[in-house]
Amino acid sequence: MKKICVLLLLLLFTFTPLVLAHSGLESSVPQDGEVLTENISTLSLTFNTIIEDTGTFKITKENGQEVVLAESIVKEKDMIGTFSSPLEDGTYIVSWKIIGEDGHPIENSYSFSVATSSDTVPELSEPPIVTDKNNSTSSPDQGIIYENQTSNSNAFMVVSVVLLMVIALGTTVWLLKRGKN
Amino acid sequence: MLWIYFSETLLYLCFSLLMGSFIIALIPINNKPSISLNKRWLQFSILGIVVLSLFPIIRLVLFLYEDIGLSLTIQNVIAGFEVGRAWTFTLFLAFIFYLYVSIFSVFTNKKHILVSILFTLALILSLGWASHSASLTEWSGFIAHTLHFLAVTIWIGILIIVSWFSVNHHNWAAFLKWFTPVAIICLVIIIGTGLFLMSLVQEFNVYANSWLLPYGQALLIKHIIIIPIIVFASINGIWMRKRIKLDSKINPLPWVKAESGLLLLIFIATAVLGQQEPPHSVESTISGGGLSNIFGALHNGVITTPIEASFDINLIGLLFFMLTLVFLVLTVAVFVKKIPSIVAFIMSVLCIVSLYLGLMNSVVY
Repeated sequence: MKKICVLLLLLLFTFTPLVLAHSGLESSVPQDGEVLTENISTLSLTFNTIIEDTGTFKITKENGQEVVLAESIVKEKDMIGTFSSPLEDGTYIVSWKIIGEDGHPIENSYSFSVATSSDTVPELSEPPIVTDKNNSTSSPDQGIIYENQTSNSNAFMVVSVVLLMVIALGTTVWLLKRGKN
Repeated sequence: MLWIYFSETLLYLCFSLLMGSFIIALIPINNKPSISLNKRWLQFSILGIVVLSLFPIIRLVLFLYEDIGLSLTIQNVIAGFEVGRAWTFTLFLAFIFYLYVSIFSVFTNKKHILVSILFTLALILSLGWASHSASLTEWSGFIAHTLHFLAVTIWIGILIIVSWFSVNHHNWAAFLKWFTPVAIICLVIIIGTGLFLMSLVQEFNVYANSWLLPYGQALLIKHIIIIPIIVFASINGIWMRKRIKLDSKINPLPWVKAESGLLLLIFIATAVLGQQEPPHSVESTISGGGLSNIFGALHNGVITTPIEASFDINLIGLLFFMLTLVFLVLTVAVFVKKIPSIVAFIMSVLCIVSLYLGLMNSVVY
């Protein structure tokens, strides 16, 4: 019995490919941060797992105005939306909200922009990682994605270490005293 | 979010209580202390499982109903989603189980005890079906998750029943004789399947990177709690046995109670862990604002891409690590000096805090 258990465990460990748990956005057309020079009629989001039919997404312009979709469907891993009219120039935010096959709700958003007329190239508010990838002149893979300026965590650490030391010392003395009695 | 952590913790407790009480009931009377457990506890646990496993579904409904309306959402989730279907099955099973427990003498008749264990097992499978790893990795995830949870309920279940429902500590040495190997086997299974489940979600060499996310924080805390638990398990399993052999009047129950307290902490950490998004891409999650709040408050300095954790131990970090050791030694010393176990419990909690803060202080990105 023991041998069988061990074998089973070994089997589990050896033949399982590394799979990521939870659903997430795998790819999209247009992509995150893409600047479109030609107009598109559909937008599609592809997830890494099958998603439940109740997934939704909406597209809003920078000013908060929602883009009206003629149709949107969920099919296995994909969500596809069809625009009722061509998109105007500008930046758009796509916010999606899905329930993965595992029943875990996830929502997120990304942005793309449309610049069909050549003179207006809108500035994109991209996450820094993307900027760093494109910006090859200064230290290619370095970017600060988080900086803690307000917190006084050092003071907290010092206070905790002192407090813990006092407790440890106090307890030790107390234990030693009890040993003598 | 807090209520779902609470409900999940209680859910694990319900399962442990059921499993523990049936296994203890199977053990011959000479190999266990006298237990006084009212059937009410079993009925409460079964009801608890039904109600508490509904909470994640309520959360889903709340997440969705704005878009398509409340009644349609409930219909969709219960009938269409995997979690919903699994819950319907749980409800059905629990209903029959409740009647079974209420009608038959499930504490004395061996046949009824075995049937009850099967019912509990079926409920665990139903919960595993609804769980995350099951949907995404097919069988291996499902089997590993179920084994993990089963081992937890057996080990902790027995421990909880014995520590909180014993009326005396008769036959303690005989009890430890079978419980110690059971606990060790369970612990090995828990660690093995736990590491396997972890490997599904992240690679081991980027373990420290995930500390930036709530998921990684919960997992780290869970791992840290294991250290004092092993110390407590050795106290209860090895040294207490020797002490009782010398003097059978010594009461071991407060010490198992303290151990069950630490196990409750691990349940809470697991409940938090289960609700977090696993770290597929630490970088994009953080730039999307997903940095753990606790980490943000504790960590000083900047995080740069590519995220690569390394350790830079300064004086404060070193002091924290030394304190970790000191508190571990103090936990054992409390036992040696025959001081109430609550003091040892506090020492182990402080040991957990020291190690956690030490790691948070030393890690740089």
